[in-house]
Amino acid sequence: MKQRKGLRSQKAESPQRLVLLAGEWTARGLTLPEGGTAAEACVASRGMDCRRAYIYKKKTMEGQRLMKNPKQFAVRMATALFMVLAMCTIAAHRIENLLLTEVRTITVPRAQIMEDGAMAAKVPLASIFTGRDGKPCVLLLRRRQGTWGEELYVEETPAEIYNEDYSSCYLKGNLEGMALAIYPSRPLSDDETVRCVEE
Amino acid sequence: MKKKNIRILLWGMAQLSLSACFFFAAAFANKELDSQTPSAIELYAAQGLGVTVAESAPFTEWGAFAAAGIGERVQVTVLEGNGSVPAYYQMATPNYGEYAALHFTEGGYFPDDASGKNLAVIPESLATQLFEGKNAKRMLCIDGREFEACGIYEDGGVLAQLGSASIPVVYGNTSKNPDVPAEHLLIRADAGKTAQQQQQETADTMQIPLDGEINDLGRLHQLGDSLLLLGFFLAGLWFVLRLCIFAYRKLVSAYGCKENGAQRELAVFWGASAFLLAAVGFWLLLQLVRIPAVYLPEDNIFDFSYYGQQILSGVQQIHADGRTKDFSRACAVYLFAEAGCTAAAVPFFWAGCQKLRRWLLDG
Repeated sequence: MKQRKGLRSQKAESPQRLVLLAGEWTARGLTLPEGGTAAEACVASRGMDCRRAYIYKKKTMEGQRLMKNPKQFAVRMATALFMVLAMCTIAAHRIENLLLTEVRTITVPRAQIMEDGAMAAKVPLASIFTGRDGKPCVLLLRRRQGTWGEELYVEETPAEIYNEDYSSCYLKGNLEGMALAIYPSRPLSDDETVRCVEE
Repeated sequence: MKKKNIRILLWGMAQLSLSACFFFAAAFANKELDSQTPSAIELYAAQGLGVTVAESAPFTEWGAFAAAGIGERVQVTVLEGNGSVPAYYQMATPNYGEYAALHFTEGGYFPDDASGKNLAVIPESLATQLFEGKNAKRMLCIDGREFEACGIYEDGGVLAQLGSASIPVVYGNTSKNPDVPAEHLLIRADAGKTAQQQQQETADTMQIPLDGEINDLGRLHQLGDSLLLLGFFLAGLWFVLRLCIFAYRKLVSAYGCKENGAQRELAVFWGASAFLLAAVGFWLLLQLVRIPAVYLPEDNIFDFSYYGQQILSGVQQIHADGRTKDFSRACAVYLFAEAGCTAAAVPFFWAGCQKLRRWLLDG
């Protein structure tokens, strides 16, 4: 048998084993390579051991058969594609969940009467953001139906600030009982889907 | 053939054992990260946070934070002995030992009511150098002032020492300067709150604005847990892949089956069941992927340049040489060790499973 330099030495298969390989080959409906038996396939293997040569030849034969049978090729491709797509859909759902911006929430308390008679509710300064128009706003937390069920999103609402200090501010308007998004894990924009850390 | 089979089996078992060792090493590094570094938000300012240690002490009980003052290099000697050892001394609040994850081999941290005594806790390495195993009352002289060493804490493992300077750190309940500014605060980490939120709440409690560098050590602990789970996820993907390949072959063979309907139906059943199992297994494995949102890119989870930048900043953190006791640097060292072990474990696991599968099929 031929040997390629640098490869490990080939193990000689017994004649009985070669006959068995040849028998298996024909039992599976594969025709043997032209002019040969499994033994000759081994000879042509150029240094690979006989079992690997048999598998290599079998795959080559199957590949050639597939090319001659486009319908079967199409079925195989469709099956593989379906499985890949299904797995990608599952992965995409999880990735979408991971990439959602995390927010914390506070509920706007009851408004208090200020010195000048105005009504304002005290909220943390972190509730105030700058809107697209450059004016102060709050992000109301709302629910809606999404692809995978109910989801949370933020709605940019203009805010009228009555007074503020280094830690909190007083908001005018009828926001009592509403949930505000605070301390997002990354900058938020209007109508963006978010994930509440407390849930 | 039999010899070859045994060799494949032995290779497979060796690779799986190696993988298990690496996973255990990663789990050990994660456990050490949790025990040797505080799970806290660290507010740090080299020149002081605008509040003294003495001022912050009354708030520590109900503010859920601890403080340590700006440290100084000192010479530590034994009262009855010769020779001095250079050390780094920091005044700290009475609850600092609990927050800074100090593990005591002898004694304990100094109590709230020290009754005017100068008390200090010293590392094991310094105790060995100064007292050489003596069990008498340990009296020290730190820059001319008498202290009693009321506790000896562990230096930490090799990785912890890689993340700290080589000079021993001594914590005491007093300072030469009674108005020593607080160098850093350790605020107990709350997983449901951001670091900025907790900083703001602490500032509200103390009625003092706190401006300084924020190091979210609690999130780093979460990242450590996430890395280990990510390793298990990647290892488990081998089973999902094999199930998918099995399902694919069964479904394709069902199509190509020219024999009776029952065999074909059986092949379809097995193929569909295997694929369903693979899908459910994949979905369950994906629940193990829980990376904190602050460490993920904004839009594209496969933005590898972003991860590269994060890794680079971690490497820079390890080589940063500013502070004597840098918790961020210690965390970075542990995280790199854990990531390295996990990255080594996964390919060995795959290779071992592949070898065992080959052995089972050949046998």
